[in-house]
Amino acid sequence: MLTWSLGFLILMVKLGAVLLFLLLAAAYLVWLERKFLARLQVRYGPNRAGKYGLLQPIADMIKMLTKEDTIPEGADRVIFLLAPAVVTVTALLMFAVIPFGGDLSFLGKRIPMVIADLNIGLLFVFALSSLGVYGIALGGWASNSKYSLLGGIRGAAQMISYELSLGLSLVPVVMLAGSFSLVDIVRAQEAYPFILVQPLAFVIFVISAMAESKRIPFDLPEAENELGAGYHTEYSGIRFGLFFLGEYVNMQVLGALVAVLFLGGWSGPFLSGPAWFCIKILVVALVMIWIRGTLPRLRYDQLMALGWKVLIPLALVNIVVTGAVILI
Amino acid sequence: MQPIACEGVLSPWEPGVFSLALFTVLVLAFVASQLFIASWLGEKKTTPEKARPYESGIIPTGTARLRYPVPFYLVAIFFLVFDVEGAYIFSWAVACEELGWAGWLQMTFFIGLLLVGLVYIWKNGGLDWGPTSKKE
Amino acid sequence: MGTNQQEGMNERFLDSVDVLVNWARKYSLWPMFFGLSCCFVEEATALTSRYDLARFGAEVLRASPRQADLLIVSGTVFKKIAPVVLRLYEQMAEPKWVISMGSCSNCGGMYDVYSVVQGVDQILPVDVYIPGCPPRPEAVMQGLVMLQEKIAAEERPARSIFHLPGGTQGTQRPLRVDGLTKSRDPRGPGMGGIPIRGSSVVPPKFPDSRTDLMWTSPARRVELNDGDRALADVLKDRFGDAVEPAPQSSDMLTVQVREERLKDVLRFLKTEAAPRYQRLDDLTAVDESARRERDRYPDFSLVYHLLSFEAASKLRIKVPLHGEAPTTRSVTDLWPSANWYEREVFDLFGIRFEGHPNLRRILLPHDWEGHPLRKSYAGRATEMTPYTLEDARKCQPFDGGVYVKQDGGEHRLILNMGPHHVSTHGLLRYVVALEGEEITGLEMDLGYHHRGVEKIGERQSWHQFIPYCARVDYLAGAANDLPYVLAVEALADIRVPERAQVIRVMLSELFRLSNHLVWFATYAHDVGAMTPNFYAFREREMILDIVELITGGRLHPSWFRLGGVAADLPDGWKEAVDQFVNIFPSRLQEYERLIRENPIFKARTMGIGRISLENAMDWGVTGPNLRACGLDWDLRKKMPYSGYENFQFEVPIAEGGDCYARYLVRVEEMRQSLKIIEQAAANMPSGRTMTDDYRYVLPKRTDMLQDIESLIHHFVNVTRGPKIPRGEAYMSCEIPRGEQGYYVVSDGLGAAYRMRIRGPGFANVQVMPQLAVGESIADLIAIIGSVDYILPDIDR
Repeated sequence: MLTWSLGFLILMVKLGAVLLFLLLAAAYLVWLERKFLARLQVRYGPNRAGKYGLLQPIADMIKMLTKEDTIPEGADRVIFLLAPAVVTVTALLMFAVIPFGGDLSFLGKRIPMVIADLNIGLLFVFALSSLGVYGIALGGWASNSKYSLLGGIRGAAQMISYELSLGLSLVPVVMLAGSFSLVDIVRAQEAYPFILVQPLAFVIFVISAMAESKRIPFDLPEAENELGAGYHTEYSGIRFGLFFLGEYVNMQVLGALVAVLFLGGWSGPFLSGPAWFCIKILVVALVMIWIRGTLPRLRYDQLMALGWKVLIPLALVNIVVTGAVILI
Repeated sequence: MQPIACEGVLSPWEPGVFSLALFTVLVLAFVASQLFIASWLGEKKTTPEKARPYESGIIPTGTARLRYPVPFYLVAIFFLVFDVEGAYIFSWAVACEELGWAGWLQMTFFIGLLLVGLVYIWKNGGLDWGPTSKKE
Repeated sequence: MGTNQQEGMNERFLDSVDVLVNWARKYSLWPMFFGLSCCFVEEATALTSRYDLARFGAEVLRASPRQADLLIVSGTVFKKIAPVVLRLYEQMAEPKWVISMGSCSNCGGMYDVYSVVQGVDQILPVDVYIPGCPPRPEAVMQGLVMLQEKIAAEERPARSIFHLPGGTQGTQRPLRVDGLTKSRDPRGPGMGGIPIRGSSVVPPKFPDSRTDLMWTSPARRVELNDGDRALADVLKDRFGDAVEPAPQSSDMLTVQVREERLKDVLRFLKTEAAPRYQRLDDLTAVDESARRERDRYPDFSLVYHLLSFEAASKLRIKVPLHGEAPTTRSVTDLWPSANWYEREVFDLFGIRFEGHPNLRRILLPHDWEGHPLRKSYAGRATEMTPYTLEDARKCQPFDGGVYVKQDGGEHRLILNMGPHHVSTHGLLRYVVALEGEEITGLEMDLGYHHRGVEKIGERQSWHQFIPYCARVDYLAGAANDLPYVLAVEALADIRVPERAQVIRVMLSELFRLSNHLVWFATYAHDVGAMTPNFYAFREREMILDIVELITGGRLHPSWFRLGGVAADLPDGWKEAVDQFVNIFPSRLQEYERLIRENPIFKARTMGIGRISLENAMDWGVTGPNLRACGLDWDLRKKMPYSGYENFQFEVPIAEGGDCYARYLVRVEEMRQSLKIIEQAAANMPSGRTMTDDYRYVLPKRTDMLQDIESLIHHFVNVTRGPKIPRGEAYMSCEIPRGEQGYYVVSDGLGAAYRMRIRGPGFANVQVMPQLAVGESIADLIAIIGSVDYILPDIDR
């Protein structure tokens, strides 16, 4: 019983730390994005709230928390109020199956650096990322506003389409690792990271992941120039903040997935596992921000065509070829 | 690939369902607190104009409750088809080495069929989402 | 005792929450993506590299009012847009703050005219006023900092947040009521006893105008060329008494046509005549009822300006109309572009057009009373009943269903894009019918930016009107002073010294570059690329630095004068221009490649928004948009003015008439403009910058201080304005967006009798449904970006 209590305590600390880290990292990812974009654009970016603008995320958060919560007339209240939560919850839960370091040991007990090493880990991730669509589609639909509706429709179509290429691109990874468990996938990369043997899968995955996270050049659901604010047009205050939070947690999760599936997860020389893991996430996130600062936006039909006519067939062919290579 | 042993389900040392459940509770608690703050904190001043949906500053025409146009249903249907097929591919993927060449051949045939299906809807214009003027 | 302690604790807690929340809010003021006119350009500039509003945490422009904290009312608040501004403000979530930016928004500014609300504080509370016309970007930052200070010092938000009594947050100032809590006098309070300058000679009354005491020679008279004379003869032969060529003209062949034969004459000119006059350049009217020799004029004159591409010549047709509200026949079947022009004439003059498909108001709100360009109509807002909050609630724009019919089936969605929208480039309302993402119907509602500048032209003296010119196209600055001064100079036969001409050309081309850079930035932004914006604005600041060095102004230098320019070039201008000419090509190359070669950009623009050359000519499309259809037509080459014939440059054209072609043409135009600037700087002639014939112009200051003749002319021309001889002249120039023309009519007074502006945007935008119907909603945004219009030149 004593070990159970101790274990429970340690577990709670670990879970709390992970959650806090995810939230803080999301907040500072916003800061990083604003600063990095600013530098790309020959500007400084926020630098008044705290040194280097380091308190900017805190200011934004407090501002949003104390802002009025508006609900448009004719909105489907329950769905409208809950939709932002769906996005954040799914994004945060996805992280549960991602291993962020090798095991630690404490009093002879093993403390795994993963919340839940499910044997269907990857499928769990897919399932949750499909659920995330509901937040966008329902939030857009429930608002009773046309910009929101259009954004919601775009979001739904885009996210479910890229769900397919996202999933199919990972089949070769599963074949190489022989498991859906993300811990096993990382272990399988001890010799070499999968990016070296599966560059095509890597490219398809990264493109699909960016489409899933709705960022330029795939930010159609909230394309500011076309739909104002898209699916979250009617959201104010922290409900809008939750959409925002979801997006940035999503970015971390996708970075983490890239790291785990293709870049060898937490492994790397000299530094500790979690440190390597964070560095890899950061690199992926920076590349995504860089792309945002560089590219224009696709049109809806071009986006769908890219997914269905290019990525999905390529992913399917990649599966067949990988299978043959493994068997040889 | 260890099966989750029943006796270990409540063990806090194992990264299993228990741990996941606790994390879920934490996440839900956090998000619930945000939702609570959203509806509790902050001054509420509802006016008829504020309650009106935003549409570029104009009073909206008609409702935003419209049926989705047909192409969007098609996306949903295609997704369903391909996602179900994807599930089969996944179940083969974990066991591809055990199943050997026979499995590979069957799967290649299966994927080939899928591709044929994709080409079919492609040729029939099911994958054209652009405006009609560009569909020719 | 216990309760007191408890209360003290509560107070302390609330006070510290106040401090925390105020700190957070002050650094997280997200402005709404909202602009009204010129000021917004400077507001947007404040976000770019040199100024970087992001430092204060305020770069997060939100398109949705729900997420915005700060409404910067940047620009003129028109009566037609006021209900929209009010709604957007009310749709913002608490707490919200308002900054009024620029003189127009503060108090109406220089637009004391029927269509403008004399200060946004009549309908919204305002915290900070930023003065200036337009205020510089630094002033925007100052305004933001002042608001931050106000939030930190004055607000007590904790109580409002916790639903306790006694808190304050957001902008709380009382509304001002015109005439009660604010002065109705445009000059401010305390001037009540003195009549507004010039008001004694505002039509329809001219009590003993002292201008009559001045003698000026008659209007310029041009010799018609052989082609024009031949055409006049042909018309005379064919239509007999119905046409009557005017005996003299200051600019082009002018023919008076009787109303009954008008359509036949126009049809003949468009299709059969040699040369054919294929384009309806402009259609407008003049209310002749306040002419001083009343019996020589009809009640109204309709004026058609036609243009022949074949002979590069223009032709004026005047049609006399009689009666209080005359009716004539529509020419929309001849020129589809006449549609909007005729609606405008109906709106502003009350002349009806039989056979017009859709004759209703176009610029003014649908519930407006009267026709403002009639001489009997009061021009000033301060002469009308004050605009109040109730007016802003009551006078709503038409429902979108009025514009596009909802008959397309159950999936059709009618969406209002604009007047408040990130990518409509101003206050233009697109009513779109959508089937999924596809546009099945498109109609535009304009007039949200109607500043009544043509009416103002009838009361400002000839010199006083110059500042209004730049504001007609606020991104082209001095370039749109040019057609105005040229028109008046043509009428009064003022000769401009060569140096002044080259300075004018150099400034015009600098502004063409500056305008095209903004176009490049916004176009890239419209298709989703956010970064080119910042690079283009960096170079634009270099140009504005040169403009500031030469003129002292940025957007609106008001630098051209009748007879020359305001002053000579300052020391150091050449170095500044040379430096720019050296740096710019490589910079442009650097970021332009990023766009031109980008596969996504190509996919988004190639083949999108096509228009055929024939259609473009029919609809009166001008400028780069016309050249993108493959026609080599540039007024600077075809009908040179201000010495453009002395410069070596090419007119870039492209084939296809799609968004990508328009992109190529404009980018190449930048390179050509640079060539012109380089030549102008290298070969700047010496000599005067102001004509030495001082009858009509503002004499040079040194002369004015030396001899009495110049002093008298200076005094008279500044106070009453020069007397420009009776007559009319139309002059059009190739400004960055296309052909802008000024039609000035003088009745021999110190102000114009009629001031007509032909803006390129009016025609270029009218064609929009041709470009966008059948494309998707994202394409519409790309098309808007590629057409490059600006609202004050559409709505004027």
